[in-house]
Amino acid sequence: MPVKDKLYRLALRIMADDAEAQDVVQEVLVKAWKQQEVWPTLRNVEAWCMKLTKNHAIDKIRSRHQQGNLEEPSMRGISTDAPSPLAMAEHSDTMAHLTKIMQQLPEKQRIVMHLRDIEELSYQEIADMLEMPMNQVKVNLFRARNQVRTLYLQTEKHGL
Amino acid sequence: MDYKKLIEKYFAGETTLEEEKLLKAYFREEDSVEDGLKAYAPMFRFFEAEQARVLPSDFENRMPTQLTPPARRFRLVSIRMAAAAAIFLLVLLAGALVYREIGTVQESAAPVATIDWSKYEPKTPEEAIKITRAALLKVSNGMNRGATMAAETVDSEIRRLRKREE
Repeated sequence: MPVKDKLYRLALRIMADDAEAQDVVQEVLVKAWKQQEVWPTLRNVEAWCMKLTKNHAIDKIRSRHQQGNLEEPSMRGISTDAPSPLAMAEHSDTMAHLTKIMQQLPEKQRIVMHLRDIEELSYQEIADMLEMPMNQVKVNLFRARNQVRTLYLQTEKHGL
Repeated sequence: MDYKKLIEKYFAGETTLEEEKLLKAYFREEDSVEDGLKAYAPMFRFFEAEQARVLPSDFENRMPTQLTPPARRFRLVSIRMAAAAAIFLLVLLAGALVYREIGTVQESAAPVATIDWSKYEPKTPEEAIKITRAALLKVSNGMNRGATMAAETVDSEIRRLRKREE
């Protein structure tokens, strides 16, 4: 299942919690498995799985808020048992700091930036997946990138 | 390549995917990055590090309990169907054998009529020729051709035999 890691990264970006992100992926894969009859009707099964993941993760976040657990997990318990060589070479504090900055973005901006800068999807693919007009995708991406830049350069400047 | 312009294009949200890949490749080697842009290097390295993030290796071990049932159901149905087909074939084979056995017993038990073929034997050459002629005529008539030829042949043969007797 090569798509599972993509689903995991998206779920992690939304949930900001490793265990919960893994639960989301598991539940989405089971859901997709049970709906095999719709697969032949889909243009892109991977995009469909990504959409299921996004919706399921957002539903979980909302139910978490409804249950009164408003504490943001801020990427707690992120798995470290399979980091890339590149990630190992990076300073973990810089990575953690950028993760935190990404987490501060509004949900839509965060998802759009993740899909573009990490998953390298086209504007059209993002628009289809998020059921959002393409100009909205571009606006969200523009805002997200500039917000990340501002926050990152600020902290760098102040040596935080 | 003017990476300063490219990075401004990136923050304006106007870069293509190819240009964004160029930026990632450029910031991968810190030494080659010009001083004014070094601050952006961690951002692009962060994207690449995140891209390489994968599920823990034990994730799939936790999956089967939920994903196996449809597959197991399918396999069970197949095994049941195969068993049913095998039983049906066995019953069919056993039935055929029993039927054949009964038929053989009935055939061997039936009384066989004895025929005294000696009374049908021709006693004289004339009688044999007569019988042969009748048979040939019958065959010839049955085939609807050569009847005359057969009769003539038989007649000439009779004449030849009579001459020899005389």
